[in-house]
Amino acid sequence: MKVEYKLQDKFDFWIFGALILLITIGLISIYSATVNHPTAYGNFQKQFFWVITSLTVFIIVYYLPQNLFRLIAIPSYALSIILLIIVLFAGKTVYGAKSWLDFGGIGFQPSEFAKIGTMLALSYWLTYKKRDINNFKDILIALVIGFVPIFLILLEPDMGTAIVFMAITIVMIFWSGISLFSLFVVLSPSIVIFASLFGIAPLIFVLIIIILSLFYFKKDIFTSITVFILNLASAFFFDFVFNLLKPHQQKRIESFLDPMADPLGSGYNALQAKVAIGSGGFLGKGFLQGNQTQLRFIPEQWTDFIYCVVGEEFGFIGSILVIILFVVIFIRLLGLANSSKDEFSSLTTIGILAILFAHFMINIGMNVGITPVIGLPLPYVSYGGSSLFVNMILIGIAFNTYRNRRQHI
Amino acid sequence: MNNSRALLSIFIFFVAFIAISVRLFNIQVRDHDKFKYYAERQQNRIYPIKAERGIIKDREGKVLAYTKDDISLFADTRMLTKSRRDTLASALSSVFGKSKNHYYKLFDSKKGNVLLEKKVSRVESLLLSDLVVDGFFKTEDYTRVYPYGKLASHVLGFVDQAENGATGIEKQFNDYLSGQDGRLLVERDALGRIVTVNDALTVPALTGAEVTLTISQQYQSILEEELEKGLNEYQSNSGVGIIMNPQNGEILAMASLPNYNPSSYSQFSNEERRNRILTDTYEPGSTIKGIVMAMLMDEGKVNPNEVINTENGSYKFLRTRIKDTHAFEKLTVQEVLEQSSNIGMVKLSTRIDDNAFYKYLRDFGFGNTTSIDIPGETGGRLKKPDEFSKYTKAFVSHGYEIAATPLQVITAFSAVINGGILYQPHVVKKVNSNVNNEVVQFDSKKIRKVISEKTSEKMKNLLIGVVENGTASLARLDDMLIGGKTGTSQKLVNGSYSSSEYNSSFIGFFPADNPQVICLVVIDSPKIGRYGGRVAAPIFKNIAERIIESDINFSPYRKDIKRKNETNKDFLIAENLETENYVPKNEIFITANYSENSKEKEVENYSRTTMPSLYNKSIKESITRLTALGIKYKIKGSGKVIDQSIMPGTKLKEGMICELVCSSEMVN
Repeated sequence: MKVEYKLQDKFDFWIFGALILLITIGLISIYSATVNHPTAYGNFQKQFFWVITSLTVFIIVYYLPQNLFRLIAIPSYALSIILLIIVLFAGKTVYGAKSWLDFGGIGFQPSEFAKIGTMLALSYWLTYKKRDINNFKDILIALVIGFVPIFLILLEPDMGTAIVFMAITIVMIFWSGISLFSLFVVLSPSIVIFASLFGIAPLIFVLIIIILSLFYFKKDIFTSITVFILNLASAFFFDFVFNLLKPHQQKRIESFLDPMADPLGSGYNALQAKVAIGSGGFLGKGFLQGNQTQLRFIPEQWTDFIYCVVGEEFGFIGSILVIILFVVIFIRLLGLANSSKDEFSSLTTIGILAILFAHFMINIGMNVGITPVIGLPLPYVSYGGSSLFVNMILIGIAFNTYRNRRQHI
Repeated sequence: MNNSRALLSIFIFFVAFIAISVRLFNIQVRDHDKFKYYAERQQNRIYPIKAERGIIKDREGKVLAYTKDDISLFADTRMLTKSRRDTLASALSSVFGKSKNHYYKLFDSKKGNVLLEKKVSRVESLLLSDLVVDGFFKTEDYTRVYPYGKLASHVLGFVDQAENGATGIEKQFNDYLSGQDGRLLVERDALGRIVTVNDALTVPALTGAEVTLTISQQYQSILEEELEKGLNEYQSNSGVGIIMNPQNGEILAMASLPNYNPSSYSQFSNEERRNRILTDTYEPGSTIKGIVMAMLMDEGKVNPNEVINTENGSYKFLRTRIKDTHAFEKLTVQEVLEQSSNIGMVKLSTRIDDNAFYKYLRDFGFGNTTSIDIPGETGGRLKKPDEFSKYTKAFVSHGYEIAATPLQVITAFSAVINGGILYQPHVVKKVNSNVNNEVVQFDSKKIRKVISEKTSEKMKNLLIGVVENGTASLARLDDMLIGGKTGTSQKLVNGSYSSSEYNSSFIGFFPADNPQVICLVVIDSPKIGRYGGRVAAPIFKNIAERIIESDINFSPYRKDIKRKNETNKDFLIAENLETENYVPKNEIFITANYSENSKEKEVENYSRTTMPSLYNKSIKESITRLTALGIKYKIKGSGKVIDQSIMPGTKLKEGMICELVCSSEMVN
């Protein structure tokens, strides 16, 4: 059946418009943060070059045949794992994490590429021959697919990216129709880990809640005990991971809990970001007028702390605008995932949404002081070629789905 | 396919959106002021700019104290890496010419801030302006400079480490001198480097006021030099001198030896830094006789020509014995002062009642600070009438049982000779303030009228007599008539009067008929000489001669004074003057020769208006005399005068010719 579609039926102008606006805001903010900087003054031009490159790649991905993604799912995942292993040996250490690979002057992060691979592999596995998602073995395999890269990334160690992979895995399993109990089994360990951050008392409190929930689900005694032990183990596992973290990362987690304890040390960035955003006020100080930014109180502000340039120079209005643009993208992606009749496409879209949302929440959260400072860029806004490149490929995949969504009716 | 889960997702987005929005609202709108304050506090720094301290000038505008804007160099050794140390050491050694090792040793000497160079001049520090090394910094380190070194150190005072006046004018006028500190508002980046200067909120520092003193650098150096010479000559450890204008209380010079250098004040002892003129009281001894005499005369209790029985030098007063150094049987009141007779003064002091005696001394300023504009003054000690014993007046009248600072003595004495007005002594003439461009003038301040002008005039002449005929002959000048009074007081040592330690003093003024300068010299315990007339008077003479020589204002007063040759042992005793014309305006007293050891009084009373007796004088001397009087002469014979055509005591008229008959045979 051949139907002539209008362009707006094949191309989501809402997302694209929001995307272009975010990229523009990003370029403006990068310009402001680096124009007076002694070493980073060329970053605006570099980022502009990456914007053009990424948009080209986006167009290419948009026009790729839809089946291709299913075909390359397993190879790209395998390549991701190989690269993640290579980087542990041959990688370049940046900000305490061995996360960069150099290819003749062009550096890139395998963990960025692995987002695509993992997301595709999970989509592939979860839609493979109508899997029973509540089958314990199938869930376990899905979890393994997700946790192999997480484990490798934690070895770098790159906490922020690892969290993104957790989000991808859990959200995709959730979206593939897992039962409430299974979701509880998957999610409860992360709640336990989070509670353990705050000390022994909250941890015991959460463990008691988990025991009560297990009574509510009325599963057999063996399953219940297994789930509880899994939770306990995850608390210990986290302790193990916490000790794997570099001291500066541990400090960051600790300083999130009490940023004022060490205002000049690890809490410095969080505090300065808040001061920058807060001093911006309702309308902001104006382009190039943000003293916190221009006086370089926040190191490397054009990467993870780009949002406080917006907050300081464009105020509450500018900050809210960025949030709204992201929410527009999220809701459109969710609508696409929800309306897509092809399960693989639906899952890839939801995976993309999970990646973007995780970045968004953690980055904005650490800028405004509601999540710990774990280095993650703000998609499309922060400076960084490989991040922008991968994010444009991701949105290209989503647009590809959008272009082809009618074919599955 | 997943509607319920899609709805859950939308719910999560909604919650996230609300959470972030609320957070943003709280930070950016509700707590905006707080964060704005935090931001400004860390971005903006206010640096105080220290105002330059004002200069102090003498009355002619010579700069006695100013501030040099030096810079000190420091390094925080904790911040010095190997390469920074190398850069710093080589840069500093090339500018200051010291070895690199010198600086390496300093770097190693301690952790933290190390002083590399102290008080480097601005010019030298400019050579280092390109040297930017983390951990190396410069601070302004002002230096107070006193170009004349020790000169007038006790008047000027000194400033402490923080540039605050600690003593003297530096302390008294500290508020004026220190000016107004400014402030520099700068924006700093995260590393503390200054990025911009906010001109709108920057207040420049205002240099401190210019203080002009009444002190004359010229007089001051004369005073200090002569005092120093005097201390060496008479072997004393300390002495003071004050020069003042008696007509308005302006201090022209004030020296207290030993003195100190204000720029290195810490190297001097408190003994040297103490301004004895203000802090040390002494019993003024005979100098007070001039003051007591003035009160007696003002009260009409004495007549200068009245003869007082001076008891041949020893007199039993109540149950004590008063002694004179030189015994006289009888002295006129005038001679009591000239010869500084204690017995005479004791007898005269009984004529005035306790209350009047106290009131006069009080009015002359004793027992009270003079309120001079230098801090640290003490008020001395004056007994109140109800504390008086039967002996008090007697002892005070020759300078005991009363303690005064040298400043009080000279201030009181000024009132005796200036027409009877007590002025408040002061050393600051005016202050030119930069802060509000005001000029504060410190005019002379009359405190009270103490004695009548007539009394003052009489006293002036009596005091001229002291120099010309009395104990102060060594103070006489060749070309100007002066007045004064000597003083010698036994020092109180451990509660009893010492027989070997004396305060030798002389207070003198000139020109005698229109006093412009009054000067007090007090020498503490000279080992050579003892009496004021022997020690302090010659020092005064040296001071006076140099001042008159150097100050053009005195030239109209200079004239040749013909006195009897001082080495001439011959003498004539002049007739006593009539009571009525006791002090004719142009009377001159000339002493033939006064020796402290001579028991005889050698006084010749010589008037310009009457013919002197030339009997037994040499021809040369007689001619000199007659020339001075404007009398033409004829001489018969040779040798000494045996007769004269105009009889002694005859009123002289213009055009008179005197015939002198001389003979080489001694007529006795």
